[in-house]
Amino acid sequence: MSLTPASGIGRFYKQSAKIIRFVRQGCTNRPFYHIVVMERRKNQHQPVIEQVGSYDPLPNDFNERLVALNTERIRFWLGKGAHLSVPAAELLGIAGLLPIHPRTYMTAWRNRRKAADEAQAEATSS
Amino acid sequence: MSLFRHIRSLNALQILRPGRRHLSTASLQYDQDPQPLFTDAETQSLLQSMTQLQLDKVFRKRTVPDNSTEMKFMTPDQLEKEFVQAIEKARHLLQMPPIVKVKVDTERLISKDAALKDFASTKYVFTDITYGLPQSERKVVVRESDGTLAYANLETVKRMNQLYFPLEGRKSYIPRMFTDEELLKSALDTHKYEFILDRATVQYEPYEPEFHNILSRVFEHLNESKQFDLLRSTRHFGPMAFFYAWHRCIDDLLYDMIRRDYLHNAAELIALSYKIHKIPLDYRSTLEQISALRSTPAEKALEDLRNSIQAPEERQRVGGIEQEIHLAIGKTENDFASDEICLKFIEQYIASEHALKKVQLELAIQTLKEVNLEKLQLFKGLKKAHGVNVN
Amino acid sequence: MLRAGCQLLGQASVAKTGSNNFALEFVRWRRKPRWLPVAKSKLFRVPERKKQTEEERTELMRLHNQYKTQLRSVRQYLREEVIRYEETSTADHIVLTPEQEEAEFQRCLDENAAWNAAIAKEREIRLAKERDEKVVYVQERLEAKKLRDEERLERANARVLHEIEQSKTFITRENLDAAIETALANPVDHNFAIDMGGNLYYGRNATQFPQETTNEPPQQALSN
Repeated sequence: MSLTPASGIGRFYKQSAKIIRFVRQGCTNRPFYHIVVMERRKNQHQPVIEQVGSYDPLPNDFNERLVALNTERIRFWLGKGAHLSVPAAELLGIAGLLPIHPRTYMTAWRNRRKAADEAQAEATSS
Repeated sequence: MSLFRHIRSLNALQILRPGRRHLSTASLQYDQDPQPLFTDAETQSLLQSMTQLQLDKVFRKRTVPDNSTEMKFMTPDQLEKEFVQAIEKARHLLQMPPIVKVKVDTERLISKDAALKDFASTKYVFTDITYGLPQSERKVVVRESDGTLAYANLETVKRMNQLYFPLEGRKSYIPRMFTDEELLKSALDTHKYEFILDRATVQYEPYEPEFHNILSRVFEHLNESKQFDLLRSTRHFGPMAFFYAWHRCIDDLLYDMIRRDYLHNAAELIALSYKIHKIPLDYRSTLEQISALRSTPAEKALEDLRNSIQAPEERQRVGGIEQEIHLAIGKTENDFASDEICLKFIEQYIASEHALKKVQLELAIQTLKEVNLEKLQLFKGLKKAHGVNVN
Repeated sequence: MLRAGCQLLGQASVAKTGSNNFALEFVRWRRKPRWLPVAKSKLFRVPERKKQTEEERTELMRLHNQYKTQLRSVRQYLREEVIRYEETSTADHIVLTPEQEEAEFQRCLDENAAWNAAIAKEREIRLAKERDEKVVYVQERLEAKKLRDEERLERANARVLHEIEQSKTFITRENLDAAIETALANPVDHNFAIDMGGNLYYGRNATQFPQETTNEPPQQALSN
C-alpha cells in the first residue's frame, strides 16, 4: 500500500456514480478508516477521488473515538449528488451534519433493551 | 531505548491517572483582565525599553541542532543592510508573549436526543479539518454516549488541534516538568527560568490557567532569588516587569536595576507601576525628557554594531577624541543629564508611600550617586585635558 | 478451518507453516477455494434468521421515511449551495461584460503588437549581424581557396620541372645499346670496406666470386 495525497489520484468519469464511504486502512485487529469519495463501482482499495476525513473506531486513552471530517468538501460532494454508504451516513448523522440515521436509533434501542434485560436477569437471580 | 520506553509509559500513566496531579497554585494571580493595559502602545514601549537589546544575548548559542555561522565578504552597503536586518530579527525574537485573561470554559449545547441514549459505548469527537482555517476557528464537537451533541471544551479542542495540526515543539502530553511539583522545583532552584518560560510558552496557550500559574510561580521564585539579569534581553523580561508592577512588588527589581546602573529602566518601571495603578503623578513629562536624551534599545544596538567594525584610527578620525572619552567612561553627557532626571524621579518614588524597601533603595541610590559623581569628575577632567569644551 | 491433508492447496502455503505435520495450519490470507464442498459439520446447519418484531419494523419504516425526506431536503439545500457557489466564485472563470472583453482583447492585441515589434527589432539586429558574419566567412573561405589553388599549381609545376630534369638521364630505345656498352665497359664494384678516413678497400674481385661458387660445389659433390 503506497501513500497517496489526500486530494486523491483516482480517475473518474464526470457522470459516474460517486460515493462517500469508508476505506479500511490499518492492519489486522486494528481497524482505521479513511472517509473517501470514490466511484461507486470501484473496489475500496483502488485510488480514491478525494479523502474527506478519517475515523478511528478504537477508543483512545480518554475513551473517545476520533473522527476528522473535511466538512467543506463533504458538503460539496453531497451537493454534487454523491451517494452515502450506510456507515458513513450513520457517522455523519452522529456528527450532526446530516439527520440521524434510523440504524443509529435501532442500535440505541437494541442496546438499551439488552442492558435492561441483563439488569432484570441479575435482579431475578440474586 | 528502554529509557525512552520508560518515559513514554510514565507519560501514558499520567494521562490515565484519575485525579491528574496539578501544580500547587501560585499566590499571585491577575484579578482583572490585564490585556488592555499590556497591549497598550505606551506600556509596550516601556517594557521593550526595560528589556533592552543586547545582541550577544539575543543571538547567543542555543540548544538547537544548527548553531552554525556564515562568513562572507561584504561591501559597506551590504554590511549596513545586514546590520539593520539583524536588529530587526532581534526585535522579532524579543516579541513578548501576550498576557491575557484566563478563558473560562462555557458549555455550548447543540442538540440533545434522548432516543440516542446508549447508541455507543464511548463518546465521539468530531473535528472539522477543512483546509485553511485558523486554529481558533476550528469546530470540534462531541457526541456523548447519552446522545447530547455539544461543542468540545477547550482542553479537547487544544488536544484535537495538536493531533491533526501539530505545532512544532508542543507535546501532545503535558511535559512532566509542568505536572510534577518536584521537577519544577528543581528546575527553579537551578535558576533555569528561561527554559521553563520558553517551554511553557510553547506548551500552553496564553489564555490557559496553567500558563498563568507557571508564569506566576517562576516570577515569584525569581523575586526571591533576585536573578533578574538572567531574563534581561529575553522575551520574558517584559511580562516579568509587568507582573511585578501589577502586583506592587517592584522594589527588588528596582534595586537590581539601580545597582546595575540602569537608571532610566528604573524610572520606566516606576512609571509603569504608576500607570497600572492609576496613581495621580505626572510621569509622562519625565519619560519624555529621558527619551529625548536617550536612544531606543534598537538604535543603541545598531550604533554599537556600527562602532564595532570601525578600526581605532578611523574611530578617532570620525568621532574625534570625544568619542574615545565616551568609550572609556561608558557614558556621554546626555547620559549624565538623563541620570540626573531619573535620580530625581526615583527619589520621589522612594520618599512616597508606594516604596516598601526604602532603606535598601536609599543606600543603593547613595552608592550610585557617589560612583556617578566620580565618573563625572573624571569625564570633565579628561575633556579639559584634551581641550574639548565642556558645557 | 482447513487442517493438514488438504492437498488442493498449493505447496507454498503448507511449507510456510513449518516442517512437522502437527503444526500444519491454515495461512490466514488464503481462503477456502470456491470448488471445495461445504464442510461435513456444517452441511445441515441452517443459519438462524434474526426475528424482527412487527412494531420494530413499523418503527424503522417510519424512521426511514422520515430520514429519506430529511436527507432529500438537505441534499436539495447543498445542491443549491454548490450551484450558488459556482456562480458567484471566480475560482477558475472570470465573468466580464462585452465591453470589458473587447477592451481586454484590445489590450492583449496591443501588448502582442508591442512584443512583436520588440522581437522584430531584435531579429533585425541579429539577422544583420549574421549576414555580415556570413559575408566575412565566405570571403575568408574564397581567399583560402585561392591560396590553396595557387599552392597546388606551384607544387605541380615544380614536379613537372623536376621530371623534365630527370628525363635527361633516362635510358630510351635509342641509347639503349650505348648504355649497355657503357655499363659493360665500366663495371662497378660495390664490394668494398670503408674506414674513418674515407679510404676504400677493395677486397676480392667481385666478378670472380660467382664463378668460383658456380664451379666448386659440383666438384665437392662429386668428391663426396
